[in-house]
Amino acid sequence: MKKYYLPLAALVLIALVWFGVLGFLGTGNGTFHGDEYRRPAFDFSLTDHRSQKFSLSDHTGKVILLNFGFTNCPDVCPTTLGMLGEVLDLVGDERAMALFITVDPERDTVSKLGDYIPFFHGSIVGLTGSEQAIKQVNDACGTLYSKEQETLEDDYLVIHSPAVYLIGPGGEIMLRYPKEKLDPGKIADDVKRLLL
Amino acid sequence: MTMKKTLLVFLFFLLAAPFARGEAGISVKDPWVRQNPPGTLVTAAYMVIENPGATADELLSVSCDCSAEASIHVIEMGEDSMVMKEVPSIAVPPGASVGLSPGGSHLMLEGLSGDIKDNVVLELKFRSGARISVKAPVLSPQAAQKRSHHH
Repeated sequence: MKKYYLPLAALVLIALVWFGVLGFLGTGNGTFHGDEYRRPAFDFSLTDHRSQKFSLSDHTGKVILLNFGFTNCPDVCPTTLGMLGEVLDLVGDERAMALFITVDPERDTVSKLGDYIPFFHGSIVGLTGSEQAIKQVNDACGTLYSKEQETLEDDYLVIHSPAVYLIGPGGEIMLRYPKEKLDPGKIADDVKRLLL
Repeated sequence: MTMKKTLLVFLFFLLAAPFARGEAGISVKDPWVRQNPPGTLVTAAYMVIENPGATADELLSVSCDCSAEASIHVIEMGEDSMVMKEVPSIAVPPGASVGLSPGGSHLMLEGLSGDIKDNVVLELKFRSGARISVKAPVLSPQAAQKRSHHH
């Protein structure tokens, strides 16, 4: 009978620590505007709209807002990019960064992004890469995208997530902003808090 | 006597009412078009359509002097994706106003004649036969952001 006490006590201790950690994480995020979305740190390498190699791991310590889209998108993508530009202005800190990753690498070449991105904000970074590399970033964020064939032969849209993801200073995905939470003032507050 | 007079006046207004409503037809407020980013020939137009009348109306088609094509789109949310869908029309119920706004229902303009600026002219056709032509300012991303805070 007595030999069961030790493992039982250990189990209780582990449970206490575990729930304590969970509780701490929970209260720590209670006041963010974005939805808590904990995903482990990850890395990717793509090419930016100035033809430079961009690796996420080169930007540890920054707070990064990540959004997926494509340049042929008439409504949602430009709306989100305009919003992200405003967030960068509101935060006014070089440690805040906004990334636009194309889900249409076939058409969105570096030069196409080079024309497109600066129109919204001088500091937003547009990224493209191989089909596989882009899928990996989407997988890491838990997002899906797919081509939708339009009536005109070469004119298609890409169905994708409208959400913005916040990557914390440690490289982990921390928060997710669904469409209805894309408020520049509130997102800027979250970013500022994380940069304190 | 006065009673009869009041009744007559009342009757007059009762009969005139439908015509009065017919005059206060459908209208378009606050139209604007998103400036197309360099290298793209597609954008969207937004506005508020008001129907003060007593009969339902419907936006059937749109055209713009700036684009080869214009169509009506709504957005359908999936679990974690959104799909823009072309629809044949948008209902404007009596006494209601329908907003076409960023990230929601909008008019998609495809095959733009080039980089648009200043103003464009949109023409809207309704089931009631109403045809409305509006001049819509072209807004930069920054101007569009400012605008979204005031509305």
